Amino acid sequence: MERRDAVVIGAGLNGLVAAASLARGGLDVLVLDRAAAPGGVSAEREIAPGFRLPRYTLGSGGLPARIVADLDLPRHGLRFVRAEGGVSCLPDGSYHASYRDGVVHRREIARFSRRDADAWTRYRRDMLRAARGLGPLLEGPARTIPKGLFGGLRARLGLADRIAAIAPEDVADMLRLWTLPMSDFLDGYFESDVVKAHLASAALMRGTLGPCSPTGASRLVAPWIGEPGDAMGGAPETLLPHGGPAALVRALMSVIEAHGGQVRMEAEVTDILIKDKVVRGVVLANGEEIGAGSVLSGLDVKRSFLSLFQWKDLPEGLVERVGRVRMKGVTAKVNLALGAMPDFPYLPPGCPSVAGGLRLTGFIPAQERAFTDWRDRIPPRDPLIDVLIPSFHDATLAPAGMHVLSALVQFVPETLHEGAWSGERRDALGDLVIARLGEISPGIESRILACEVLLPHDLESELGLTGGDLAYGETTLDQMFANRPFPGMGGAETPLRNFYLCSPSAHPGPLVMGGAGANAAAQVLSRRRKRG
Amino acid sequence: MAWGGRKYDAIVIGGGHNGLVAAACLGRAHRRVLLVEARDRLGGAAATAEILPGYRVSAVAHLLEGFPRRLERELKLGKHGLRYAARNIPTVALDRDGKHLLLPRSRKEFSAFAAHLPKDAVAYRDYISRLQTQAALVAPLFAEAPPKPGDAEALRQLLRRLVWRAELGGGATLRRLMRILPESIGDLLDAEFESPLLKGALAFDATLGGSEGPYAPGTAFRAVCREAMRMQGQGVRLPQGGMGSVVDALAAAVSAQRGEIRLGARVARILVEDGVAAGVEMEDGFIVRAPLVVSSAGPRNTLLELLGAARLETGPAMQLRAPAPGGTSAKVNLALEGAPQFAGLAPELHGARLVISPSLEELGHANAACREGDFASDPVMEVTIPSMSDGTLAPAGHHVLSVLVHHVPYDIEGGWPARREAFVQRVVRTLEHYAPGIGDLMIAGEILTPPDIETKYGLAGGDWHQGDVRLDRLFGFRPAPAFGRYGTPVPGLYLCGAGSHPGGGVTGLPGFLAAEVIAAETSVKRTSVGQLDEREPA
Repeated sequence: MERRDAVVIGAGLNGLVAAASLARGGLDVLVLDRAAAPGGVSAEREIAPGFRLPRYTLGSGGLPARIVADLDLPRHGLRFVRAEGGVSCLPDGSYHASYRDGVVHRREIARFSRRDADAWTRYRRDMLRAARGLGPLLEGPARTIPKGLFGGLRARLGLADRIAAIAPEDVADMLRLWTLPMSDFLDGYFESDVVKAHLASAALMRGTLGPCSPTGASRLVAPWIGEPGDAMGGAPETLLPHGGPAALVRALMSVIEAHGGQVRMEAEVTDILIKDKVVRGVVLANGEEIGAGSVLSGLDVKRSFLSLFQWKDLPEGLVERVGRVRMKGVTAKVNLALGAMPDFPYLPPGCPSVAGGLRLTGFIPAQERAFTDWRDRIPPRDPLIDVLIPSFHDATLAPAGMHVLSALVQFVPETLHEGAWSGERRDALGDLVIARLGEISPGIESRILACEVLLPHDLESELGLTGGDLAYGETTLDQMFANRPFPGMGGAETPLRNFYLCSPSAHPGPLVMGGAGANAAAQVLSRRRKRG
Repeated sequence: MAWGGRKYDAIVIGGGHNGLVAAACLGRAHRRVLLVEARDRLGGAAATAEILPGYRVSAVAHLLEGFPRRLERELKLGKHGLRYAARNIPTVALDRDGKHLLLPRSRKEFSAFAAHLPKDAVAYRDYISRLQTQAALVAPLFAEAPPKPGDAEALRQLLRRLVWRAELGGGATLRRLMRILPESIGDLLDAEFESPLLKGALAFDATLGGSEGPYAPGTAFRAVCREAMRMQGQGVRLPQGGMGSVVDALAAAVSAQRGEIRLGARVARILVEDGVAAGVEMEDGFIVRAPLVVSSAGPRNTLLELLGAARLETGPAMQLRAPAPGGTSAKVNLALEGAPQFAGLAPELHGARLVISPSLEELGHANAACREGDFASDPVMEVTIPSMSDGTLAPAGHHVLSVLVHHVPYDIEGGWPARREAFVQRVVRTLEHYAPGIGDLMIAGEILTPPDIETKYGLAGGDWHQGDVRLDRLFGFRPAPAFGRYGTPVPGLYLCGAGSHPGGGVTGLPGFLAAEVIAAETSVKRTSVGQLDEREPA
């Protein structure tokens, strides 16, 4: 039987980050994936001959600087492009762009309200403070309330002392951020509906909360995590990997190979070898067994436990706890191949923010309606649409002069109240997205060469992602931090020895790209060091 | 300085039950108290109203759930005439098909419950015991004044006590509570139970009085808070003669402490001299002086209008402006010429608290409708027939029915005057489904929409909490971070209404705890005590 120090299941971004970290740590690593090409959710596919794009995600995020530096990715050919923060297009014909430059950004806000332009400085300061406070919590395993009587009690009392020492104003600020709905929280800063809709729409994407759901305000912090907070004073930038997620995957593969690791595609893991509650290796679909000192699963928590193991091998109560993890599909993806450059006549010519993406959104009440439609499992009537045209940065993605457009549609239910998604419903969703695009880019319909609509259940059937949930588990606060994926786990280490979770189902979830993979690798390495 | 030549130590604004409790407790602490109420009757939303001559019913609030035993004893309310028509009232979740569910209180009831819902019975017992453990951890926080803002040492002591208590109740409680804090009651119940009816009823209790639906994060903690509030009292109780008799007993307690009550006396503004509270100016220009002014009116009304926003700094004033109070409950009271028969409900359970909330979905739809400015097609509600256990409320053989309808908007599309009739029809239609023939028994009815509750009973926005119980406005941050612990930036001016910790419901706790804080923070002047002793009892 082949033996490795570590086997990583799934060559998605987090799996590759974990494998790369382990390989750099001197372990003999093997990555296994059932697909033909690595990348998982971030994989790039051809949607029409000559048109490539990340099929399932927008591909608009970058790895945090810490991971990039740890893995030495720039030496493996990874470059980043800075993109300004994006543009929201509203139904009344107005638009709101985000700029990195504070002066320009405040001038943009002042088009809607002078008071709000001043409030921006306060908002930015508060967001940066919150993000900086959050930073340490996102590194390493989740902090839990310590168990155990004596040491634990002392730690808990110490925690009480530390909380009591926080200034009451800061406690009030924290309470507002972590408990309020986005709409109420933004009301505390801004008066313009356009400004509020712009900020809320960005934070709503990929989440399962509406703008009026309590605790939603905390989502506003996400884009500020890792933001240096320099003197620019504007909106946070987005770092896009040059060449899209495919370039990121290539760089990670190169790190793994450079350190002696291996990635084997078209190798589906069907079982985990387990003896006396200790994981010993994996079994492939073709019956091949591979022994491993540690097994890391990049699959979501439900598939990791419920489909890789015999349930009788799992500790008492684990199946129920895993079963309770909520995974809900909330986004659909529409990919378009365009025969010509789309025009945006209502936006200022050459607006740099378009590079950061376009968001088609209604005002906050409309966003709330889109959310309740999703909750009632009605086909979306007025969804939020996040658009990126990756070929703006990377001309190799489409034939010369042509473009690929990638749209994430927010608040699309996985199953409908009336039953499954039918073919007509799917086409109607595609038409709706194209019609909405036509409102900001007249004539786009005639430039479409190919169109592809991917619903949440397509994500489930093609990628094996439970519920088609791109967040790998709802990101409400009761499923974050120490409660992710479920209370009592709160990290990459599972109740099974030598088995680790390296997907965003584990802390810190989708908040930090690659964070879950890096955490899992760190835990494997430290466990090995402890054992000598 | 005086009204009719008398001197007062304290003026209490507002004669709702919290104002009365504060006045009585201040009286017990040797303060000479004047209570002024703008309306011509006491009680605010705790009142008994007459639908027809001979048919009386609790007008707005209709059950006592968390009225503390301690308060009842200290103010000798029993001696002042408070009686209970029923104690430890059970809750029945009404089912559309007549398979009603009695939420068990005893072992015997539990076995019936287990026979009815075999799959959920064990889970229910575990759920209730977990809920009670968590509530027991939180309950003491409701029974004491929150620490002074900025007093780190007091907060440290409080948190350490919390940790110790959690330790004694089993170490997992604190961790479970951390999980529950941001969870929604809907998700929590979905994970535990199968029966839609059970889930609907439990979620109804957790969300009643708030503006959020069952799947809103944070609602699971509300269930804990509600259980903790119930722990202050002794089960759900029905006062004899309706809520008005609680108020009558409290008024008698105020008088027994030689407090003075003036009705029809509307305060126009709170006087401030040299930066400290000096008394109040009545609407007719009359000035009453006292070194202490305690307001049970809403915090916004007290501070922004009676005191004046100009006397506050911008930050604290802003904190009060948002969120605006908005009630989400309406009340329908009916007089019936006969006993209503709920199909499938045992006769002895007609006196129970009947919850109509068949499932989480329907509760969610009612909430969604309310947010859109409409009432639900199938309203969710809490029904009591107080005359079943209290014969004084209606002529023999006749009954009064009291319905609290949840998720009813303050602002309704089309306006309330145009929609009232349709609303009553909707409520009666729903009742008719559960109790066929009830429509024919109706001889009179009264409907109180949220705006009606505001104008008739003086609750701003029709909100019995004087400001939604938002997670960031609890404990020391209630009603707003700058006004926790009942104090205000003006020395001598205090808050004692439902807008303050621990919040709404007929509990008297805000008034009681405010009086405790005031008594500790201010000293009695010798002279006034002397005067008090010389005075003849009224």
